[in-house]
Amino acid sequence: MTEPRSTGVQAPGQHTHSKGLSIGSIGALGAVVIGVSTIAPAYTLSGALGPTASAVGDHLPAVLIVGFLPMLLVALGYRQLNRAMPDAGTTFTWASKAFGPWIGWMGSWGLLAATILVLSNLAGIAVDFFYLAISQITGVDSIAELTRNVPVNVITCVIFMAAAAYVSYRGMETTKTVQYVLVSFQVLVLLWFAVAAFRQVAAGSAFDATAFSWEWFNPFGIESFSAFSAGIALSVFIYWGWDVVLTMNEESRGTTTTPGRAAILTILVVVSLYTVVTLGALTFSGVSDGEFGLGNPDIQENVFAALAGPVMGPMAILMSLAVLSSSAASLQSTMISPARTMLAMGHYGALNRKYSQVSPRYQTPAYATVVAVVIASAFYVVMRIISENVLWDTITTLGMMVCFYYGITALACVWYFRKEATTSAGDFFNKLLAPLVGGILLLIFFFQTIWDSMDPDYGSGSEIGGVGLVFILGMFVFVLGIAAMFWQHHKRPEFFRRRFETTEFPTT
Amino acid sequence: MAEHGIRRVAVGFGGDERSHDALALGIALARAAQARLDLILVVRQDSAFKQEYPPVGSVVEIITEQAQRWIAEAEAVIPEQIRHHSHIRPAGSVAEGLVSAVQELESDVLVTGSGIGFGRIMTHPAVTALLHSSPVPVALAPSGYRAETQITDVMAAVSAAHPDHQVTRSGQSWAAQLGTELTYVTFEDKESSAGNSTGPGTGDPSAAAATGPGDQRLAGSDTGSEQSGRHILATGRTLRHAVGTVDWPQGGILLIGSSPLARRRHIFLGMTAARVLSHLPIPMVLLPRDPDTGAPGAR
Repeated sequence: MTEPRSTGVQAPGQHTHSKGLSIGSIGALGAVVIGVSTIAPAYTLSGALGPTASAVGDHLPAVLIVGFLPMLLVALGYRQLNRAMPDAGTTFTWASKAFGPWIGWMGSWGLLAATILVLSNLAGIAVDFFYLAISQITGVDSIAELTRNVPVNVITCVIFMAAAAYVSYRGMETTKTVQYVLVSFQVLVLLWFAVAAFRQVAAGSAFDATAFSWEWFNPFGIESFSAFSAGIALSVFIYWGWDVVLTMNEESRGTTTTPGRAAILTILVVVSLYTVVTLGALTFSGVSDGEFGLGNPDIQENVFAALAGPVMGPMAILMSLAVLSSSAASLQSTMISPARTMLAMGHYGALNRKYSQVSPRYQTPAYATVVAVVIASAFYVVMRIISENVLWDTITTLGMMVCFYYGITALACVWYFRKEATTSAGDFFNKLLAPLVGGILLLIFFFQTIWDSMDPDYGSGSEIGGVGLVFILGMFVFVLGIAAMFWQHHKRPEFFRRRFETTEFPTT
Repeated sequence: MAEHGIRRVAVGFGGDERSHDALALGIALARAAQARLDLILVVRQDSAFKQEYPPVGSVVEIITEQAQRWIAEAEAVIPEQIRHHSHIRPAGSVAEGLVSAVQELESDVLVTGSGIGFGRIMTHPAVTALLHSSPVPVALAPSGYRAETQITDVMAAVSAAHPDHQVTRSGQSWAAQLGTELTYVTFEDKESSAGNSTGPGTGDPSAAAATGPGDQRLAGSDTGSEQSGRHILATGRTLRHAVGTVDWPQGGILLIGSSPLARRRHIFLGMTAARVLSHLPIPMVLLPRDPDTGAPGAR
């Protein structure tokens, strides 16, 4: 009496009933909230403002605005690829299809390295603000200093990462309300910071009141191309994650808004927020290496921890909470990314099959999540012990990695669409010209940064044996990637021999 | 009387331990009722507000592929003579997906694993959500339930105060459908029947798990015509002891009513039912609130 095997699989997005789906439709506002939340402005500015100021001095606003362009150009290509091949592997799949499995493998290694490195940076920033917030609440100043105690710092950081991994493993979701609250809070506090800084400048109580100058917005005023590249690589990191608004998948996410409009709104919100906060910090602190100067290496890797107090007074606790909540939320959402990338790689046979394990109970990439958090923790512990400027160095290395994998992705787009890119002017721009220019620019910045970072004085000035630590880190990641790739080729050559097919969405 | 036979048994399946318990109970029920078995595997969709940083692709296809392997494993276990279908559904949450699937498939009972047994408490949020929202009876399989189990006894948890209740009628129809003995069980624990409203049982209006009176007929004694079958009075210092005093048969299932808090035709796990559940060695079936009953229980 057995009936033939019939497993009815419903495609995602094929909703047989109208209500009860939490997917819902997202308006332009929702899309902006998601975009801003993914960028995590409070965390990003706190971590990257100092290193960027150290590279380009008072030309910060120029770099923030110019740095957005390559990102935007690449994101346009990203969106085209995502439409044509919505696939879990993203960079990995697209680059493999365009340039073969070897380049695809290295491209996704860049993505993986960047996402795992940023985990340690997020947790590191969160630790600083965690102790700062406790000290501000209790009024005990010595608590804020605990973060400088290496064992305490390392243990707290690992606990944070483990907690984020647990949440990610359980597949818990941040709700709409939480996202709205977090994003509004961040934006309000950052604006408050900027306004407070301007007021102090006007009242003459600023630390190093610096008169506003239009020259700050002139990218050609930056002293050297090296400084410019370093600044751009960092600004790429600052805007990293923004492309989410362009790739929100209409089929799987049930969004109704036109991604274009949401993207433009998000750009406006983010760029103006960054510019205002940067101007506030610049006019208040200047770029000297004085106590609160943006050029002071002691405060650069976590600017708001140092500046919030003098700028906002007792309200500095708000900034601590904003950065803390922003980095905690990001820490949790960043866990998902490398785990999914590894899951896809394991699935296609580019990594050990173990990586494709899905937890039956929570439907999350179980093994990959654990691996990601273990590597990130080990990396942080080692870095914290060998370098005082662990956060700064990882941010710089991150910028490099992001330039690399975005560059590869953009060129993959150009190559993949090379035949159909000439059908219309819009196609030509979106599928060929924009990603080509963006990709080449990012790769130029990538190689320039690699070259410059050999200098032991580069960035934070950490060095090992007369070579800059950022260069060593970057090279270490790449050499490790190449070694892992050859090992994989030795163990499971079949992936490198076939032109694999992607798992296309059953588009309805 | 909305009671009809058990023709379609749905199993919420997910490839984990609990799901295998659920599958085993589903098989046992489908065999006893000669019903059709539906395996439902819900693939969770990310809510749009869950964004990974930086954005990478959706892994839903990979998980769906994995889900098909889990389903294949499950199908290998189902005996020849049971008709079955499998369904893989996307949904925002497991509970939502299961509820909409059982409505669409017109299932008569939904089986899930409880992960309970040996005094452990339930941990899976999907099960908790189901126990407070399902429109059909939910059968909870204890850990390690065996598919070979022959269902021999239907037991109905009735309240001493309202012996004629929906659970009574459901018990009769389940027993008839499954061809088993019918036994009524009344739980009494000294703590909450002492009338002090500080005990843990105060969430329920009466000491028993049943809801209010089905209709205005006088509550008969044990020999009431409505109730033909054995009676067990389980008493103990606490509900846990009371549950422990019963010699639960290997092939038994316990039917229990929803809390008065339940919306009509929906289920809602009451306090008593929850506490009984955590010490019960046999499957428990939580029934939706009877649409025929009027106001929920007295007191």
